[in-house]
Amino acid sequence: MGKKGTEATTAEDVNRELYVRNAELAVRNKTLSLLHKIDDVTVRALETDEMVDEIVHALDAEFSYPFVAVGLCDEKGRRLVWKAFACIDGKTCPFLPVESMKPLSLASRTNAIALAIRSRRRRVASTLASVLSPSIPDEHVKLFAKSSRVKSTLVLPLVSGDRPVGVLVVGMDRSSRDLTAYERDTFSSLIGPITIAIQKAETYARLQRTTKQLREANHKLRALDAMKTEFLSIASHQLRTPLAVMKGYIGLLKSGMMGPLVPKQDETLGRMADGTEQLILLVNHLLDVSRIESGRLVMRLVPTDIRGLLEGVTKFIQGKAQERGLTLSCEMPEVPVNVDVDVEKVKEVFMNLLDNAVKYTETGGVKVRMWTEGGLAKVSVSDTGRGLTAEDLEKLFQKFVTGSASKHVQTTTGLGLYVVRKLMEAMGGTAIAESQGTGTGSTFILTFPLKK
Amino acid sequence: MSGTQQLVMRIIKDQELVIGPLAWREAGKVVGLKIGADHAVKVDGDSRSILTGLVHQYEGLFGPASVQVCRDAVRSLLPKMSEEDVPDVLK
Repeated sequence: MGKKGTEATTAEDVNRELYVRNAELAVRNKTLSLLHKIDDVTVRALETDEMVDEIVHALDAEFSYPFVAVGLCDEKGRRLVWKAFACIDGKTCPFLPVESMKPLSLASRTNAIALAIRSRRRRVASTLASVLSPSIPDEHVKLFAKSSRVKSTLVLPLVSGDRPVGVLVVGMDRSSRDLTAYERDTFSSLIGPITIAIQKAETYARLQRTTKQLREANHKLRALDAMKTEFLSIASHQLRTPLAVMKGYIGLLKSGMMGPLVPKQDETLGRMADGTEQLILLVNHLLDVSRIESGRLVMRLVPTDIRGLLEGVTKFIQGKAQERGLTLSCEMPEVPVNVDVDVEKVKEVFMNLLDNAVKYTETGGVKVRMWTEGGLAKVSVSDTGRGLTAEDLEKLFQKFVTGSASKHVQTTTGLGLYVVRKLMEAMGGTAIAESQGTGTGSTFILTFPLKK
Repeated sequence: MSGTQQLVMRIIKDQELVIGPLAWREAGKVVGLKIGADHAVKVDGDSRSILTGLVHQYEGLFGPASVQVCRDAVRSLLPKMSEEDVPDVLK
């Protein structure tokens, strides 16, 4: 062979080799294009049924298979539920829609799908009955086998990790050995993305179900909470009147206006008075809570010099502090501290904090201070009491929460500080607590925006 | 479109994916095939010999790999064709 002949042979070889490479690339391009289509479906469709339906129709249209179907395993992995079934000609599928196809037991020893899922391996079924029976009646299988000319059925299990998710079933009018390079490439590339897409859709469905359940539970809880608030309001009002009567008569008895008392009677009446006070405090707090939670809390904000209010409450508590052998000092600015507040509510807040300070302090005293700073009026109530732990500080202002020191006092409702913070917030202020820990005392600080 | 036309179109289109517009020019050289300006295909003559001619046209240039591309291209259409219209080279 001459030089020219050798060159021609080499050029032909190169040409053919390039063709082979290009053919491989063409298959890859087609596969990628189909994957892109499927990917587009999985991104767009959120519901499982809609998504698998679009996938099987896309595959069916691309390859003109007699049928393509997808079934998904139930949560326990015991049954396969058919989700989508696409035929070249819908009229040849008498058993459709897919909802009318019975779920398939995955324990079956003869069904090709059950066998493929259990072994996690693809299978080829030579008869339609071994795939579709007993999901559809035998007479329908026979009719479909005749009209669709299915010669072999490819069963491709969809597996995530070791967990079977479902199955992709492809009915072909030729032998499975006649798969083209494009088809082989497509099936190996497509199984993973389809499995992930199905899992994504299932997660979305679960999320939707959970959100619905939570919404319903929330609705029920709101209704229950409203009922509870209503009950509290009614019950508290009903309790307040007899309590006021009891308090009045105990006061009369204790004053001696209804006859002299022996010391034991006086002591007993004292205990009754304490108990009644505690009940009145609880009822008042419950009423406040019910007003706050039902949105019936009415604030009548008026410009007020709050020094007078704090002074009045401090004087009122002074007697109780002295009884307990505690000092109670009050330090205030000499100029007016004008703030928009609801007078009665502010008194209630001051009363709560000062009463708590005296109640939780055994030795030492309570220091009350008012000052202005950065457009705010601030009030602090510091005591030398038992102090607060970090856990106390975190939960103290929550409803029905009492501090670690509450076991040392008799009268506590677990509502006082919750009411304090809610009332302060309703007046545009804040309430916080500070403490260095157990045994170091505590300080409660209130802030009010100063009137400009 | 006849079955033979469908097979011819599928073969040329799949060859186009590999070799580009040359696929149409080479198809135009096959006796019995006419390719229009808009890639419309007209078949005139015996189906089997036209399809065989088309496959050989590509084979002559690119070797046995091009025959496999032709076979793969028509694989899904064959079950719908009558046996006598399909040449052995595509089976």
